[in-house]
Amino acid sequence: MSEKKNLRLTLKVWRQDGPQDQGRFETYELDNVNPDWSFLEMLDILNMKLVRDGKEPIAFESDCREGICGTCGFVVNGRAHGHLHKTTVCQLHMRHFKDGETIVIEPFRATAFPVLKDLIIDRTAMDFILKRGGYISVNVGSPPDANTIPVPKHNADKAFDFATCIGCGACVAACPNASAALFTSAKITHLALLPHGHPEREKRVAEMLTAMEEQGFGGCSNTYACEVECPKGISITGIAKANLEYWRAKLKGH
Amino acid sequence: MNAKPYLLRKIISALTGLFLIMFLIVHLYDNFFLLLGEQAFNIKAKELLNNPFIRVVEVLLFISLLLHVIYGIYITAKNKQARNTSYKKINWQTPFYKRMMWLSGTVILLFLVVHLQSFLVPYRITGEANNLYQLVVLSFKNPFYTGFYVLAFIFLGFHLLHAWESAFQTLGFNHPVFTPIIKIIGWILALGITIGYSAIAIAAYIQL
Repeated sequence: MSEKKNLRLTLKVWRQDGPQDQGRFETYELDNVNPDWSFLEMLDILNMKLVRDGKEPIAFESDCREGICGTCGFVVNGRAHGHLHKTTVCQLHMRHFKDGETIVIEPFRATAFPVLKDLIIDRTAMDFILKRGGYISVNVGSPPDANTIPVPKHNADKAFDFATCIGCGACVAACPNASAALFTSAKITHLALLPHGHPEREKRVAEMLTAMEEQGFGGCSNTYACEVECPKGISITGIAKANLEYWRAKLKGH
Repeated sequence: MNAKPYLLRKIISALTGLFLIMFLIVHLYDNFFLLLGEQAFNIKAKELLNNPFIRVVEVLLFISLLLHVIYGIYITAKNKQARNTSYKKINWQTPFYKRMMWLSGTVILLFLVVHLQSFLVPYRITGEANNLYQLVVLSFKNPFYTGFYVLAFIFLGFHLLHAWESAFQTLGFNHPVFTPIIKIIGWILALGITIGYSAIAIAAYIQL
């Protein structure tokens, strides 16, 4: 058990009844916050209190609460997933906050991510980007024997680094342009590094970048704010790699 | 399916920007002739005017500038559209100058209008001024003119600090060894351009 004393917090939470609602901040006081709770557990407790008081609980999303599913996510004190490096908000613990602190909580904001309710946003726009090339559609027949497709260790490791993207949308939230460049390029780079991705390599890059534009995300202006907030620490070198992939595709006549 | 990837706009912006940087360096070299006195400066100016290569590059320069401005406005407008509701409280994890390219760009454009009107128009177009040296030195005697000049170059310095590094990333070049070197060159470039141009203007204001 933690020996740290429990916290008293003031929470300013964004409340919005529906997509059409204007929305506003509401302030809640929460006493006796255990420093070992995660941020979402703290909100669960607050919601229990709200329900007890006959009020509408705060709507927020979560699934695994282990930092690997990409379901949770909102802006805590002006930082996507909070101030802690490489964490999702479900893995952000209350011990990182001070007693008596005021915490401002609002949803990820982007034109492509409309707010559905309170802290829940619609991230379907990201699925539409994936739909345009974030997969391999070649018919490979029955499973091949092990190690029939040689992948150099270096490439496998690098591809994996980009494959760790959980699609939480923090990069979009943290970008001054609300660009999904880090997300999109992570997929492009991941598949460009592996032989399995090569048959559709040229088509993929143009299609996915076009889809990003169509979904209403901004363009990358290389501010690198995304990289700082990415819970999986995905590197902006992927964006350069995807840009290079675009040149390559153009030179090959795509 | 009529949308084009944002990357096309960025590539045009990067390539024209790099070309404009090249021009800034050459222009700075030419400006140093101002410190060598009236005769040297005016001879240099005439020399440039009679150089056919310079005349061709000049056309390219105007086209680049125009494209850079048009695409800059287009990119900014698109990016602003991408967030229709702004954050009530946000702590951006990127320096202010990387987010303010539109602002530094606007100041530089305003400066260019004043700059071309005070030097290029009377010397080249209307032909009112024959002695470029006198024209330049007289302009810099005005503290407001010199003040605005220096201010514009401070904005240009911040613009370049992001621009140089960003152009390579846009063109797909990010390398574990060379990118840190590119960043250092960016700092040298931004400081060199700002200090170089400003120093000549201030020297003209004080001494010439």
